Parts: sequence; C-alpha cells; structure tokens
Amino acid sequence: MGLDSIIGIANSALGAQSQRITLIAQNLANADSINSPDGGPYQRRLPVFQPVPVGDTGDAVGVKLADVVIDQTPPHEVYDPSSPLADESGLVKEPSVNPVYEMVDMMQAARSYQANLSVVQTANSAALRTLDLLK
Amino acid sequence: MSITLPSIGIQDLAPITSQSTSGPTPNGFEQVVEQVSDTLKQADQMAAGYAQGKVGLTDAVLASEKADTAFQVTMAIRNRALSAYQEIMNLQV
Repeated sequence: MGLDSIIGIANSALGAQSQRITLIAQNLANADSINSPDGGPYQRRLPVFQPVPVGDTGDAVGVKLADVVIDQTPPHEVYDPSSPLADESGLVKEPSVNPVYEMVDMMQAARSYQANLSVVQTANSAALRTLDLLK
Repeated sequence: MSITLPSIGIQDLAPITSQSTSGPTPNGFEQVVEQVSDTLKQADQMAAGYAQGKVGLTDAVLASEKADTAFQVTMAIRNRALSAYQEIMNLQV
C-alpha cells in the first residue's frame, strides 16, 4: 500500500475511462451508420467495468474494462422509400444511438477521469508535504 | 507496470555508519539510490515508449511522476543526513 498503490489504482481508472470515451467516440461516429459489416444498422457499444487487483501485492483493487456489450435496443425505423436500403414498406433501420445520451455519458467519463487525476495529485502532494517535515 | 517506491526507514540508513570502513559492499542508502535510479530509468523508457506509441499516456506520465517523487524523497533524506554530518563536524571541541 502507499503512494505506489494509489497511483496504480488511479492509473487503472484513467485507462478504463479513456477506453469508455473511445467507445463513446465510436457510438457518436456511427450514429448514422445504417449499414454495418455484420448486416443491419450499427449497434451502440456499452462498456462493462470490473474490479481488478493491481500491483504486486494484490491488495489494491483497481478497475478494468471487462467487456463491451451491444445495446439490444431495436433500431429506429424511419420512413424513406427513396433509400436503396429501405424494406418493402419503405422503412429504413437507423442506429439506436442517441447523441444526447452519448454526450451525457461522455461528461460523466470526463469527470471521472478528472477525479482520478485529482487522486494522483492529492496523493503526490501529501507525500511531498510530508517530506517538507525534514526541512 | 510495477514500479515500487523504495521504503526508506532508519534501518536502511543505519548501515552507513557500520559499513563505512568495511569495503565496497553496497549499504542501505546506496541500495535505495540504485532503486530510485532504476525507477528514473524506467520512467525514461516509458517516455520513449510513449513517443513510439507502445505505452499509454497515463502510464508514461504516472511513471515519471512516481520517479520524481521517489527522487525527491531520496534527496530529502540525503540532505538531512548530510546536514547532520556537517553539524557534528562543526562542533567546537
């Protein structure tokens, strides 16, 4: 335990949150992708986090991206008979990505990243202030 | 990534006095300095790794932060030990 494990834990969280932002970027970028390689519209990706031991001793618990799940919300159906992808009733399936949700999620991820950076900063300045006792 | 900040206690510093006359075996403080030097080297490697795209930004920055703190701890201990020595040398007999 100590400064080393605090930094290790915060580092794992920073990694996990940036992976989360990567997924959000992916969702936002593909908000209009109606034809994904595996057929049908793009489906929203969601991160699943899991506690994981970090460091050599294993008593420090960090976090990792355990899995990426696909949002099973059915796609939006938009009436657009001129589209070559429209079915016989003129409906086109569009991704269920809601940019507003993604933006809120992104703010949450950014705040969490910031919070973990503050943890590092606090731990470090506490250690350095302790050192000031020697002066 | 595992960089351990060396734990520096009184017992690490004690061998300085007891071994100062007995050959070149590394004493406690020397070991600590070597460990910190390794930590600094590792941080440098991480920075190079980041430039090459092999290491993440957070890994590189945090390694350098850790190494910097470890170095400052060592310097503080060294300054303390040196000032104690100087104080004794300046004693009026």
